[in-house]
Amino acid sequence: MKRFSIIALLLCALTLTGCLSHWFTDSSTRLQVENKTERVFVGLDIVSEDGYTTIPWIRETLKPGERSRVYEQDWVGTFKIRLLFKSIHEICRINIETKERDCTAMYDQVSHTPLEFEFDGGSNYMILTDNEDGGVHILMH
Amino acid sequence: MRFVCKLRRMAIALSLAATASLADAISVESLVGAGTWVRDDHLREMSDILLFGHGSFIDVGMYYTPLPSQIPLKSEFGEHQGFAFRHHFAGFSSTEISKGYFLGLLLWFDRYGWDGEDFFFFPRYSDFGHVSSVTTWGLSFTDAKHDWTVAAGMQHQNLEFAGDFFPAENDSLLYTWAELRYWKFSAQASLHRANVKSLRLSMNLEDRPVYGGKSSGIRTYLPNIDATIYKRVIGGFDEDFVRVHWEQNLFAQRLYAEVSYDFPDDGFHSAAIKYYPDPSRLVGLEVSCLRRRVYDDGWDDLMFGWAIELPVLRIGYNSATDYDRLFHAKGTWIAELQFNLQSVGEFLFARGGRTSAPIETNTVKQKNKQSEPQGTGITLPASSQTQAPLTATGVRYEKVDAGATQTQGGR
Repeated sequence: MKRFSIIALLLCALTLTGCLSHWFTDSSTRLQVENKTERVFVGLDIVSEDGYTTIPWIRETLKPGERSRVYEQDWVGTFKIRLLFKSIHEICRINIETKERDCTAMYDQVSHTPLEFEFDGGSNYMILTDNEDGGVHILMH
Repeated sequence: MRFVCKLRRMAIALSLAATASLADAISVESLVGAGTWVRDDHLREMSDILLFGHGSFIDVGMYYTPLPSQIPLKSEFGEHQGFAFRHHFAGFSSTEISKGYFLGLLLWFDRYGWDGEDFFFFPRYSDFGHVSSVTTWGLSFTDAKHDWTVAAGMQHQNLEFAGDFFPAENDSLLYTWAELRYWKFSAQASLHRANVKSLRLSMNLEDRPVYGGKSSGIRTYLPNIDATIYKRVIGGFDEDFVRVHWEQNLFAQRLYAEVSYDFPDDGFHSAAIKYYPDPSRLVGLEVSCLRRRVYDDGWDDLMFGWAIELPVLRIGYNSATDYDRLFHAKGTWIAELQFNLQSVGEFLFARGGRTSAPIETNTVKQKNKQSEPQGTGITLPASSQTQAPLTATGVRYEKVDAGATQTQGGR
C-alpha cells in the first residue's frame, strides 16, 4: 500500500511538468507564410530592439503564390520582425559600335524597418499581399 | 473543437487582461545575478536556525504563477512570455552526541530561473530559458551548556541551462561558509577560494521563549540587528557595500518593524511592518516598501506591497520579500506554496517563531487495560512464562557419505 502511495505521489508530481499552463497556452510559435505578393519572399528575421542583432526564423524562397513550410520556434511574446524579399535589378553590357545590349539580372535582398508583433504561441498563419502604395500588407491569422 | 478554441482564446484574453497590463518583465541581469542573493538567503536562514543550534527544521516550497504573462522576461529582442520559478527545500537535524553537545546537519537547496513552461521536476529548457541551482550544506556543533555554536560547510552554485542570449558565466561555482555564534552574537562568512564574498555580524538580542528566553518584559523589545559586507563589482570596480538589517518587536512579539539600509552610498533599501496573530508565526501579514534602483539609468522609486502568509500558502503583491527573492518581479500576484516548521524540544513553530504553536495535545489514556478480552491474539499458556526461554535449534547438518553425493551429481 505504501509503495502504491509513493508511486501515485510521484505520478502526480510528474504530471505537474508543464501541464498546468498547457491547458490554455502554447510555449512555442508555429509560423507559416503565404506569399500573395508579386515579389519573391526569401526570409523572416527577429530583430533586436536596438536593431543591431538579427536572428533568422524562416529561410525559404517563396515565389508569388507559394506557401512556406511550418517553422516552430520559442518566440512567444512581443518582438520585432522584418521580412526579406528578393529584388531584381538588371545589369547590361552595351557594345558601343553595334549598340547591342547584353543584360543579366542582379539579385539583392531588401527588407523594411522592423515591425512589432505579438505572438501568443500556437499556430500563426501570415499572409503577405501587395499594397496599393507599392508596399506589402501583412495579415496574421 | 471550435468550442475548445474559443475557450482557449477566452483564457488567453482573460489572462492578458488580468495581468499583462500590470506585470513588469524581469530583466536578464536580475536573473543572471540571482545566485548571489540565493546563496545569501541560505546563509541568512541557516544563521537563524543556528541561534539555538539544536532541534530540527524543515522547509519546502515553490513559487506558483499560473499565467505565462505574469512574469515575462525582458531580453534585447523583446518580452518573452513564460514562467519565473524558484523551488526550495531546507532541512536541519541535530543529535546529542554527548550530554549538552549537539551535532547538526544542514542542507539547503534552491532551483531557480525562468523557462517557457512551468514544471516541477523537468524543465522544458526553451531557447530563452535559464535554470540554475544552489545547494548549501554544512555541519554544526553546539555546546548548549556554554551556549555557543560553530558551523561550516560548502555552497555549490550550478548553471544547469542558459539560452543563447544570456551572458557567459561560470557553470559551476564553489563557495565555503563558516559561522561562529556565542550567546546572542554571531559572525558568518562566505568565501570563494580565498576571497571573502560576504561577512555578516549579527546580534539577536530579543528574548525568544522557544530558545529559553522570557515571553514578556523589556528584553523581548531589544533589537535584532545584523550588518553584512557584500563584495560587488560595478563598472569593473569593486564597490563593496554594507547592508544593515534591523528587526524590532513593536508589540508583544506580534507586531514587528523591519528596516534594511545600505551604507555608504545607496541608502534606504526596504522597510516592512509585519503582524503575526500568534508569535509562532504560522500566520503572518506584512506591508512593505522597497526602493527600486537602476544603476545604469540612475533612477529609483518606491514600491509598496503586501503579503499574507498561511501555513501552506503565501500570497503577495509587490511585496519586498518576493521582489528580492523572485528576480525583481513586480506588478502581479505571486503565490508561493510553502510549508516550514521548526521544532525545539516540545516546541513547534514556523521560521522565526517566538513561541510554540497553539497546538492542542491530547493524552489518550488506555482504559480498562486489565479487563481486556483475552484470546484476541496469540496467547501463551501461563506455564510457558515461567519456563526456560526457547532455544533455536538452528540449521541442522547431516553427514552424507561421499558415495551418495557423487551419485547425486556433486554439489
